[in-house]
Amino acid sequence: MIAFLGLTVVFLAGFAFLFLIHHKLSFLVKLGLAFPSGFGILASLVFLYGLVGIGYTFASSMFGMGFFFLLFVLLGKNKWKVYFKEGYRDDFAGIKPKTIHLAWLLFFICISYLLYSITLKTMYWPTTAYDSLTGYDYMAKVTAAEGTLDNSINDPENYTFTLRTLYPPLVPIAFAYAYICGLATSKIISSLFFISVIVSFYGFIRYFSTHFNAIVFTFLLVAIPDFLAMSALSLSNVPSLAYTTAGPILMILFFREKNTSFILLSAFMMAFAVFTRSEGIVFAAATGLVFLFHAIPSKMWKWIAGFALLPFAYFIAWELYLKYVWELSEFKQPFIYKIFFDADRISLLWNKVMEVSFSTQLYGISLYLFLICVLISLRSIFLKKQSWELLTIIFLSWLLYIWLYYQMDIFDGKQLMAGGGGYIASGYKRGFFNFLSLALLFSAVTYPVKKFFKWLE
Amino acid sequence: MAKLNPKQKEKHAKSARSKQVSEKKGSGTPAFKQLLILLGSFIFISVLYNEVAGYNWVINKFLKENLDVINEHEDASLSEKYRAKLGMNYAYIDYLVKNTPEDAIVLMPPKEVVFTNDKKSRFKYKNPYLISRKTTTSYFTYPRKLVYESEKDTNALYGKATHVAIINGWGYHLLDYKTDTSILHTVLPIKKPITNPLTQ
Repeated sequence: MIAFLGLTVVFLAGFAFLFLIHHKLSFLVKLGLAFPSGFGILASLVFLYGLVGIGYTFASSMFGMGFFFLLFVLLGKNKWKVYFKEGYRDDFAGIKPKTIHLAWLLFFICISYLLYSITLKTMYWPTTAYDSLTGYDYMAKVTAAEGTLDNSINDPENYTFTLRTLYPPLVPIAFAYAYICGLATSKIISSLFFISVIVSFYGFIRYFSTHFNAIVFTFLLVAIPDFLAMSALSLSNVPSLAYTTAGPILMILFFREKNTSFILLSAFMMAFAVFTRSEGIVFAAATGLVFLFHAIPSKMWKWIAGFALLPFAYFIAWELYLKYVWELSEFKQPFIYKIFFDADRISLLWNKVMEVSFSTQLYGISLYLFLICVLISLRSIFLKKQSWELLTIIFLSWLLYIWLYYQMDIFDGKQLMAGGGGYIASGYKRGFFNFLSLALLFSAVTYPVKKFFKWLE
Repeated sequence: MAKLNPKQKEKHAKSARSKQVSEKKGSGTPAFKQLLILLGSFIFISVLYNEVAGYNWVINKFLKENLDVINEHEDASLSEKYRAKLGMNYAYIDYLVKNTPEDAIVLMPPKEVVFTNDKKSRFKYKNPYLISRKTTTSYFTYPRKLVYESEKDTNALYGKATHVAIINGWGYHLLDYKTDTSILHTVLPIKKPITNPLTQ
């Protein structure tokens, strides 16, 4: 009961937050992003609590999240009035198809089966993944027990931290919430993020195309083998996916609808992505650069500053926390902080990256499908300037992501160091499905594919 | 791109929304076409399932095997689930937790003692480094503190240890008192517990 209450408050605060910023956001996207937004707000709140000495307890988090919920509702009270008067009609019209499409039902049943099975597996097995036991979930457990991020993991007498406990705090704070609410494991948080990704992904495609198109590509996302496998573990990759998919797509929606609320939402999603995993910064950077193409000619200086500052503020806040509160800035990933060129390194890294990326065992047909869709859309991309923004964000963020691995001190001449292979085989592998969700979304909304699905209707 | 005024914004939003809800206006897909699309979809899913190893693995191995175990052991407790996943390593840590107070400082044996090369040890090294690494083990033993034999000269907690994790018969020599040494795996206080004569 306590857990239900606690999670409901997070959901409501997230929903009210989305509603306040952009009440016309589609209902499915609001539904899908409510939990990720709620946990983003909770993480920001708990982080601030820690700085001013307020403990992270059930009471303090309920008070804070309840306060935010009421604040968002009060600030958006005029929007709620309009919404209940007529806005909800659009929402429900967006969800409800005119007729039941049999093939849609088939895909829906397949997705439901996968969702049911994976949720059952996630909820049944307790946390045993090494990264979680030494990182996110350990941090969550201790944070919940001691009521603060600045806890005994960083006890100088007996350090028990690893590089994984130094990751940004959104996921540990979200996991800790499950313990604070009295649950025996934090696995429900992983399931909630997984379901959120699926619902919001469907909702995003619906902005551009039909129900049938949305269900087919949502199925292709859910069925990605490595995505399913990772979603059953208490790791940060699936939560990260919720934000790194939403951030760029919300920006694409701004380009389409010219409503600046999308920029603000996109900035918040990118900020939460950075607060989940530091590499979220590559998505923020790529999205920001594409945004500049639109914003500079329009002289949207205020929005450029806002979009740049919000994710950067979250990034810097955590770095400063590590340096001044935990005093652990010397413990970092093996990263080389200088620009250099090493052809051997590029060649080795490229081979490894290609080997992982094109694995159908890990990602099914998603990458192949994406490349086919890029090829068949070249004409519309170049001549009609369609979907080029999303394609640029995907390639740019992917190249930046690979560059992060290039800068890592995991190479020894023409080979990877012992343990270095794990960074590609494990780290890159898990991060890659962040790109695949965007790649599938691109595939779904590209002109020839949309045309095909329209014909099917 | 020029800045848009509120009217233009509304026009854009309406146009986008009308696209999103365009299915309202159609007359639905004819039944025959629906059946053809259904057949095509069915073939598409079957090809993915049969021809792409990853999807087949998801259904037949990853999900099916897990669901079978879940159905078979529906009522398993949290401890039983951990034991099923982590084996003897967890069983020992669970015993340690149940037999030490929360403020205990437990002295852990060296890796070579726990994970012997002769493969006779019932403990598995990479499972997932439970017992062998402090961080993984601390996840289960928190708030008890662990100090490893390898930290003898570097960790001040070593001298403050209150208990010894006896594994594979190692650790009896660290006790302040004599006891039955035939038990291979247990956890004991370093100082002999004071017994209350009134309760005897």
